[in-house]
Amino acid sequence: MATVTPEEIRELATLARLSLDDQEVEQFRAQLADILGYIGTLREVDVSGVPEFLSERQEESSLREDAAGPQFSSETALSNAPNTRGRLVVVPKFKED
Amino acid sequence: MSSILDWTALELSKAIRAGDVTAADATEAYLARIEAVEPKINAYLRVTAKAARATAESVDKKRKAGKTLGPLAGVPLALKDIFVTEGIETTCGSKILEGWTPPYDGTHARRLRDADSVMLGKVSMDEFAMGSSNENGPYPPVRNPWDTDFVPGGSSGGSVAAVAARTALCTLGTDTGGSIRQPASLCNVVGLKPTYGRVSRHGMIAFASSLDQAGPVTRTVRDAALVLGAIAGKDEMDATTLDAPVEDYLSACDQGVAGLRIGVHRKAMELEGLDEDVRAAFTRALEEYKELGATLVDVELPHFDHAVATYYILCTAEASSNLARYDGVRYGARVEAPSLLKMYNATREAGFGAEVKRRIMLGTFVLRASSYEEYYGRAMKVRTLIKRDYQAAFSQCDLIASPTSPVPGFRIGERIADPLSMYLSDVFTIGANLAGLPGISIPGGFSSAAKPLPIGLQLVGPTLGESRLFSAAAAYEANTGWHNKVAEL
Amino acid sequence: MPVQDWKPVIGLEIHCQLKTKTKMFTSCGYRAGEDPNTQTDAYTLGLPGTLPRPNKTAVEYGLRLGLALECELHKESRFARKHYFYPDLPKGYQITQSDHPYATGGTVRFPDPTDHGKALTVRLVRIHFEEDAGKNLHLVGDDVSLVDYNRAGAPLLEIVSEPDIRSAAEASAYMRELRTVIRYLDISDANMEEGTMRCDANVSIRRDDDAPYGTRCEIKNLNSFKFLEQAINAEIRRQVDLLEGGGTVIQSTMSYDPGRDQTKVMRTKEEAADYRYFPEPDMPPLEISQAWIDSVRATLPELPHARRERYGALGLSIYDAGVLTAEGALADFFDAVLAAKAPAKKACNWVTVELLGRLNGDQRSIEQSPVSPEHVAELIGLIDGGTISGRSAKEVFDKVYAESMSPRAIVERDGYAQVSDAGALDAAIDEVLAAHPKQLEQYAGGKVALKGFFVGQVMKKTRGQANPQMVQELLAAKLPPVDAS
Repeated sequence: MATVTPEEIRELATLARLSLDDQEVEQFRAQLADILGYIGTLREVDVSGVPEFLSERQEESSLREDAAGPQFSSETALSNAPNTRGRLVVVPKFKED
Repeated sequence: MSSILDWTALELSKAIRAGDVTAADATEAYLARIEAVEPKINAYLRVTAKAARATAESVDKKRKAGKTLGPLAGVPLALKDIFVTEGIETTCGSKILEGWTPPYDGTHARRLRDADSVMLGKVSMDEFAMGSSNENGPYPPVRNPWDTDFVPGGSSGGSVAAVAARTALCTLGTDTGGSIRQPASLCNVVGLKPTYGRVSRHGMIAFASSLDQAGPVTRTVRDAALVLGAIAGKDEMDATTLDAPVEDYLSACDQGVAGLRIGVHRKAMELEGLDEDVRAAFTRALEEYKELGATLVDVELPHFDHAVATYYILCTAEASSNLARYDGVRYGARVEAPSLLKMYNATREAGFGAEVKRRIMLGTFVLRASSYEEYYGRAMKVRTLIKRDYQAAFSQCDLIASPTSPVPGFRIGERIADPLSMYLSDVFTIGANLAGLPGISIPGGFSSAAKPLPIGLQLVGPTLGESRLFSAAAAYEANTGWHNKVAEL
Repeated sequence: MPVQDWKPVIGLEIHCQLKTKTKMFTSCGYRAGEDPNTQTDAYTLGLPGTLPRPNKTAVEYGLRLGLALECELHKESRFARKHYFYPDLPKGYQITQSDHPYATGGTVRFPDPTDHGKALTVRLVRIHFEEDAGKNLHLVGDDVSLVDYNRAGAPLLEIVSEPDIRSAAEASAYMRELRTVIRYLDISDANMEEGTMRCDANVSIRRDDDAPYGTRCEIKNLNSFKFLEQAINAEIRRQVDLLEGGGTVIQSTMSYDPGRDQTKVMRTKEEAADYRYFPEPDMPPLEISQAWIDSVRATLPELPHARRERYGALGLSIYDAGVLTAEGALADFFDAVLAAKAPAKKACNWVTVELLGRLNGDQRSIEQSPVSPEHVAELIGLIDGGTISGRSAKEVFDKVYAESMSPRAIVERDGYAQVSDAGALDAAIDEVLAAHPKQLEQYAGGKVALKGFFVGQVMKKTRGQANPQMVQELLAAKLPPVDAS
């Protein structure tokens, strides 16, 4: 069985922007260990020389002509935003990094 | 006298085009049916009665004005709430999208409207299409019309339950690992997952982009052919749609199966946990195909045992990425907090259910730089091997038959605590998604339980082999008539 | 050990915004400076159910640059997702190209900024496509941050150099050359001040040129040539101080504070985000056919280094060639002067000194020049043909510049033509000699320098319009023999 530590679960939660309580951490830890144990069976497969899966090739046909399409008014753009000021979307103050 | 509710989409649309019955009549009949049985089923998240009546009226006006009506003239249908509908709240079964009113229509809603169908509303689903039981998410679980203590399957449980309960004549579902076919099997209806790229994904909320396909849920194979014809085809809004002509799927339904080689993967029948009634129904189905003139061929799918693991790595990886946009900034529910990080965390913590979080966590894990090669990279290679397995198999046969689901069904609450057992219920359906192939589940019998539950038969075809699937499925349907059995409600 | 005993090693990552009508992956238009959130659509906002659709023209522009810089172009490249959470990043990931960019290798050649006779070469690692983010606004004193999504999804090329650059001045010269090439190709405004060209610099130092590379630090968001040079020098100083003080450089991301002229650590490698790259499943691999590559190659203009070589062969200095080719429009103007049959060196002088001097003084671009290439060539022709003197030529040029009229028309209108009529000049010379008998006598007595005096008097009499050479010749015939005894 794969082992997963609570610290790893917390790191993953931070990367994924989820705040888990201790109970959830333990629950996910156990379930993830289970699932990782199962998906780890893929190590048995010989994949040497096998390319990664690719969707169908579509030479140039999937490219879009550079012509303007419909756009939203700022009212439409902001119509579902939970918090706005004027024409801007509001988020808690943060520092650029 | 037969009720309007008994008519197939093909029959109803013909009658409406001929003026024998109006779209308004059909719409009223279905709205009344929803009123009567919906409380027992919970298939709908939103019934848009007013809009449905207005659409029906405009369809009838169009006919009276002498204009030609589309192929789905007046057909009352419903969309899984994963499909984006302009001006109609679309939540994808999640609290995080509660209140989201899309400012645009997806390709599905638009093409169905252009075909003159009447949309009755949006139907329930597992949150973000993650699940096989319709128990995941903030809404009451959808119930199986054949036994309301049982799940309808998932994630398109609402789509399937509505067709089985006759609260919609057709619905659209989505299938990432079996989410159309498995519930169709559990509810005695027809469910088709088309070839990847056959139907647009524009306006279909993404779960796992490389696996997701939209498809019809209907009472009959011909209705599935009718609906597919209306939604299939190249869409400039989706760069992964295939630029192949849309065939005459209805004509394909009349082709029969004489000489068709049906592949059987015998090893899959040794699967632990395969229900005896399912095995018996499948064996009987193969005999019936032989009687219809098809030949059976044994095929090998050497990487079959690795499909579920491959699938769960790929679908969770893609899901963790696709669900990153739900951050409470531009749309959806936000939990305000004093810092940006806390706002993100609180919003996503409150907005996502347990299964969604579990998959985001797993997907984040497999995509980390330190585990990418071991998990994601490896799974993408195994996916290539699985695709090659199918290509090799289709050099020997025209279709591959199997049960759709290893069990006829399970009770609400029975598997929710054990995600892995839930994942394994997709074992027969996942291969088609990984290889991008079309698959259909059709009614294939009933279990021996006191209250019998439906059992589905799955057929998988080669790339763009939808016509061949329809030929074989329609022949079987005509021969067995399982689809004529209707759930008593 | 002082700073000069350390050898810097620098590589640049340059982002350049393509001037397509629509964004990289959606048909939404974008122009800088519009009102916030007025240039969005469903894709731009990352609405559920939306999918990326690559812009053909953006890809073509990428091919132009890849061809111009002699990159290897890949017939199949792939898009990938790069994940991080930020309010201006609508999908929670940026679509970019990671393991499979469309162009790899390539070179940028430019004159050494400290030695104009020498050419430098910087090799490229790669060029790839990606989409831009929106903009976060943090107003001083405001308790919230604000987000504008107009720029989100704008098409970018990222151009990554090898660590081939050896000084801040070289970095700046490399970047200027790249800007020139990009503008020649007409694929971007490439304007640092407006943010259509942006730069991150990777800097490390080592004791000598053969030593292995030191640990590098990346300075982010350098938005002018001045700051680029200052920041690199500041970072070099920081690293020298660290190493001289017995410390070690830790691989970090840095920011530059122009006020203090210092770089500071934003985050170290350990704190760096895990971007969880994976292949973009929403788009098939980008397929580029040989036929497309060939057709784009056929439309490429002559590039700056080729032009510099051509001008060099015409006898221009490397410096002059550099000035003329810095902007495509200027070089085009110069080529038009040459096409109108002007000799190269004279044309260069009139264009770079007289015309550019006046345009710069008026803050006008070459495109706004009131003087046409034909005007310049015509003026040079008038001088060389003896119609006007070099002295009047500058006056005529001033009038051409002010009135945008042909030099010949101005010469005729305002009477700048030299008097080359021998009869008229004979009369003028006779009058001058008659009026100055004393000087004539002195001349005959051996004061030959007085010839200049007579020429001057003739010029004065003809109000400067006499052809000086003819005056010399005619005068020589009329002056008395000199008594050399």
